[in-house]
Amino acid sequence: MRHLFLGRCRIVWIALSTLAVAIAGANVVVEDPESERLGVHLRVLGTRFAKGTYGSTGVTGSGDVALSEGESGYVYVTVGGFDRDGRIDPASLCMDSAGTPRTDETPVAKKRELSSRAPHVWWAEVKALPREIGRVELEITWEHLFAERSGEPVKVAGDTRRISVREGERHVLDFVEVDAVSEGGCYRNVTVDVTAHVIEGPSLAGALLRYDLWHRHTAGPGRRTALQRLQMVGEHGRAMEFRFAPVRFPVPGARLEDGSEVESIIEVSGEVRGRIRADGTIDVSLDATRWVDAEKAGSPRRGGIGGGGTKRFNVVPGETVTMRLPTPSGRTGAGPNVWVDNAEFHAGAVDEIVLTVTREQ
Amino acid sequence: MKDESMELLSAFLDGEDVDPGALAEALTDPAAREVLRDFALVRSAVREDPDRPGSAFYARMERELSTERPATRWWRRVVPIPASALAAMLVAGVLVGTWAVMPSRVAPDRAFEQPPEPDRIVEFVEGVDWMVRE
Repeated sequence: MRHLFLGRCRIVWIALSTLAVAIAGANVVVEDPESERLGVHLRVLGTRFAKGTYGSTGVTGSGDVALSEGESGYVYVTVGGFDRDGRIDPASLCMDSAGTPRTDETPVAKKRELSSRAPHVWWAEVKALPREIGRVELEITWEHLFAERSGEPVKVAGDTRRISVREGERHVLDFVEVDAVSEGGCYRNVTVDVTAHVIEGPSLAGALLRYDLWHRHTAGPGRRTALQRLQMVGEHGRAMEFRFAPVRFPVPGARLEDGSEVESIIEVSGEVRGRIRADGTIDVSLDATRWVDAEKAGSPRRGGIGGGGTKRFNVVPGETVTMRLPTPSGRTGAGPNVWVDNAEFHAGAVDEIVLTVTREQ
Repeated sequence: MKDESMELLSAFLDGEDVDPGALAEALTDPAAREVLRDFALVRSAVREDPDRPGSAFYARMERELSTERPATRWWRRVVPIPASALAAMLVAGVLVGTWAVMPSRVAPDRAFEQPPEPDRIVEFVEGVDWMVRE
């Protein structure tokens, strides 16, 4: 009986494993047409060079693929060309191409075809991993194929890596300095990077959010409380920068050599991004930065001690969230031998960012 | 000539009772003669005009005048100020409010509102999700 039981378990296990492998191999993702997707871009940036002079660096090609969470896809970019004899043609390094293979093309066949046309081929398999609002998580298996003769590629670089960046940030995969450049002018070097952005679901594309932001600095005993308000409207999913005016506090007894008074300055800024979910709630990401500085009274902030962090949360429209910042730390100098101990000077003070996000009709 | 003197002369010409002393004083004004002449010309022109309102006009006016007058609007009772002046004050108020909350203009001690009460309070913790850099 035991043997039979194990046998059944084994059969079930094998069946489940086979199913899992089949699903993974076929890369099946149940896709909701209304859900957001991740647009991933494998890009080539070329630095122009002509007649001994370097020019600008810019994007010259981009292989783009849209992926749902858990889905993977292929992208490629190529640079250069071959002459009639199938040898690398330094004069044709301007040429580039980019794209994704057709569904009826296998990666092996497509790479072979690309390497017969271009000496430099960057090929990547990209998988979109679960992510929080404002961030992009990718797993990339990439390779750089180089061919001195058409159709004879050699892998010169590549690996599998996990990438975690903010939406829209770029990550460099490879860099190639090209030795031979024609007199006609072309790229002196190329950088290959990857970047990604969220493609909003069609039903919510263009939806607007209203951000009601407050900065409240509740000062210590004997000082005033400063309160500022900013209101912004932006497309959902898009980052909105904010910046509050500096709050200034005279520092009693602190004087510069010329007799000027000294002020402690607190400056809060950041970026907020909200994204409406299918259930009507809003995912929010708020990056906050605070600078604390000491300067001659009336002078703008020139430096100081900065601090920053990110909060991510989900709210019902109209829900108000207060984010408390830590007490300032360190000490800042306003001039020779004039220092302000921030923790001591701002003891008992509280900086808060108060945020209410609502849908704008 | 003063507006009051002109109104007094107009009322006198219309046959209304006026203060004789005030009338005598108004007539001492050198412009009184011209004013009286103008009033007489206007009255003559109106009398010579053959156009008269029809019976329908009088019937409608009768209905309008016999119905109860709408109550004075509440804000007119509270604030006896013309509507145009109120609208101007409202626009000015909005502009001042907007100016006061504009980020580049805000002086911390000028804020006049309070943020809404939070439904949730979260804290940045130094070293955990708040990094300090110099």
